[in-house]
Amino acid sequence: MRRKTASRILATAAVLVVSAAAFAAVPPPPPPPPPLGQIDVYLVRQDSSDCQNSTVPSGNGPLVSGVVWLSRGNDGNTTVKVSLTASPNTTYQFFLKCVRQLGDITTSDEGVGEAVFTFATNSVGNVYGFDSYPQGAPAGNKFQSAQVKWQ
Amino acid sequence: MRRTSLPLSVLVAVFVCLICATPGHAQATRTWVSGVGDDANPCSRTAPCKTFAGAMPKTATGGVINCLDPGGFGGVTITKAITIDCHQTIGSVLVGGTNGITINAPGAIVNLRGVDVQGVGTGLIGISILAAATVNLEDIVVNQFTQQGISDTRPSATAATELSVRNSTIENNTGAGIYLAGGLNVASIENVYSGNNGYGVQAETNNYVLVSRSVVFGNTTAGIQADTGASVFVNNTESMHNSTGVVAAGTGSVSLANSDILVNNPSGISGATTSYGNNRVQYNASPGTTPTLGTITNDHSQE
Repeated sequence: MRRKTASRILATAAVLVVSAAAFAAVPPPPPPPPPLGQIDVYLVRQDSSDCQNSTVPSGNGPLVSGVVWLSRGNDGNTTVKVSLTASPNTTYQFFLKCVRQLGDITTSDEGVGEAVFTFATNSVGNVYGFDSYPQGAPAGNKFQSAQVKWQ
Repeated sequence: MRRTSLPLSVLVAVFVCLICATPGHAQATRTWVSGVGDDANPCSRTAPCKTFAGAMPKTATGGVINCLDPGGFGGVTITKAITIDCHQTIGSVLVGGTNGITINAPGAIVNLRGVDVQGVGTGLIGISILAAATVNLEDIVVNQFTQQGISDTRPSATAATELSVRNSTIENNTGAGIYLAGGLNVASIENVYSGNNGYGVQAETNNYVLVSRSVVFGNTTAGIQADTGASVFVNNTESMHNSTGVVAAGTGSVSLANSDILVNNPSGISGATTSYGNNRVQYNASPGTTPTLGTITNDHSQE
């Protein structure tokens, strides 16, 4: 009788352990999908900021030199359209800041440049920034975007 | 002997430096820009500059920048009294993602004549007026900006600021073609076409605006709108094919004289307007609110 009871206890314990292990093996629920939609932020003539451009002013002012339009699609990608007025006939590298270069923007002889880039939405969080400058640019010819913040 | 030789050498060195020092370039009262110019030039007739921004610091306060030949002369921020006159040729400002011309010249008189400001669908504000005593815009084209065509947001001043827009075309801007939102400001809009914008003309509080011999056409929100506290006088003007032809919002005041309000949809007039009784309001989806006819005893008398 005691043996039967002990074996039942052991069996129950084993079931509990297996259940717990199985429960632990279930992956946590996936994070909620990033919000879809559109945002636009200004590109500001400013030499530097942090990775999320938290020190870049967001309003229209004398240092605003361009606009970045962002569109999060349901295909998992974010499309970035950039319009910039800067030095004529110059190629500006455009960066998803502290992550990677997205491509180049070349300005016309009137200084206007436009380009469209795409990156995987999950390659960044909901708060980030962009910067743009010619390769080896001296101070004064660099641009930071206002902070992108998806909510 | 040795004690005197050192000061003497210093004096000689200073004298030599004074002789050799190159004088700074004086600002010219008239400068020139050219499509083939160079901002390293002095902006003279024979050595013109390339951009308005390059010519600005080489032009004296109250001076004139002229365009020598057709060209795109770039966006510029005006910080002093100046005239930019490209009347006899094509003087264009083409920008993307930024303002075309910003006027931030407290107390100054600024004149722009014969300038074509293009936003190519991404520019922000065509002409942004932040500070100046008087701004005169003549023969101006402002096209395809994502905010306003002309935006006057000068703050309140003890004396009224002035804006005049004459013989100009303001079209295809997402916001108002002409937006008057500053403090005490008096504006004259004469012989202007403001079409396919959000508003043809929009005035905010403390703005007194005369719209004369002009056309507001195809604007998506309103042809002419006076918001609370604004007074707009419309004379000999056509407001056609807008969403609403004329709007007096809140306590905004609109006076109509000898004008046409035609083919607007959904309505010709919205809000309380006053009339001299000689306007034509027809072919609108709805005529809207009938204006109050003035009598000979008030400000809107018929004559």
